[in-house]
Amino acid sequence: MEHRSLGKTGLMVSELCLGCMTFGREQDEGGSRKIISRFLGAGGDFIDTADVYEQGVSEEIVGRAIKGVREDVVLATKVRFPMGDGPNDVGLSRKHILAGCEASLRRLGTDYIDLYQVHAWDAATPLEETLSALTDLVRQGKVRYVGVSNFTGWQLMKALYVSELNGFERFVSLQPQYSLAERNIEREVLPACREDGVGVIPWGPLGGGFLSGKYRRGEEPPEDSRIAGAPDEFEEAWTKRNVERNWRTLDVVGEISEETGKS
Amino acid sequence: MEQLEDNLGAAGWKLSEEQIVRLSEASAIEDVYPYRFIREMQRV
Repeated sequence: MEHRSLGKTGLMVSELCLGCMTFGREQDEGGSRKIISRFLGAGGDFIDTADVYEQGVSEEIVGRAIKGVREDVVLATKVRFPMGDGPNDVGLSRKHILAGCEASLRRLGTDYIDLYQVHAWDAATPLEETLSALTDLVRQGKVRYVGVSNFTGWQLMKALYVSELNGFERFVSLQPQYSLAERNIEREVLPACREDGVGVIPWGPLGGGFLSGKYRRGEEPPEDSRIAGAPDEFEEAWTKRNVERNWRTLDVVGEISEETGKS
Repeated sequence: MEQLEDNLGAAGWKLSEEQIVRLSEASAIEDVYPYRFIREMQRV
């Protein structure tokens, strides 16, 4: 397992990042801990979760699993999506970010987060407020680096500009959906990242399992599969994955799998 | 766990240039304006 620097920072991370969205959902705690343990044993150290994954349960599981080895882990989590029903239990206001960070630290059982990511744009909050709050968290020692997820090209560039202008912390990374089944970020988002040295951490590299080979052209998705159970508005919904371009891609993936002996 | 083992296998090897080209062509997204125009016009 190689290590690389994240964007143009000095932070070294393992080339594979373990995503923990399913911990506490498709994966129970026992299974999750075995996975984390195996990942660490294989030389991995980059672990990504979010407050919203199972409303805090994923973070709690990760926190328990890394007790005693916290310093060996580069721990990433996120904030922005609803963590309650109140009007301030969501978004990127100073109020929600500060409260959200405290809650995540508690659930993760640590006093600092390595990479704190904005989970998506919030049209209701000015960037200055968000970046100012995130900067305070870094100054307080609660966060080491800040990043974003699911941003467009202009959202990213505007945020970098606001940071430059005000001396706020700069977003060092972006976590976009990216796979052979979803390449739309290549038009604008990736060029924006490349231009300013923003690191890219793809989510959904297998299209939510679509590229694994267990889905077939002309057949219904296997009953207990994640894609079969995904509502239409989810990114990994069957309605989004079941298109001719993706089946053509899988044909080539299959050929290459034969040629290389890799799956 | 099985999925993790499979995924850990992604590290430490590379596809050939030719394989990458085949995958890129099969999975290609539509080439649209303004990206297409800007790319085409870079030489002018």
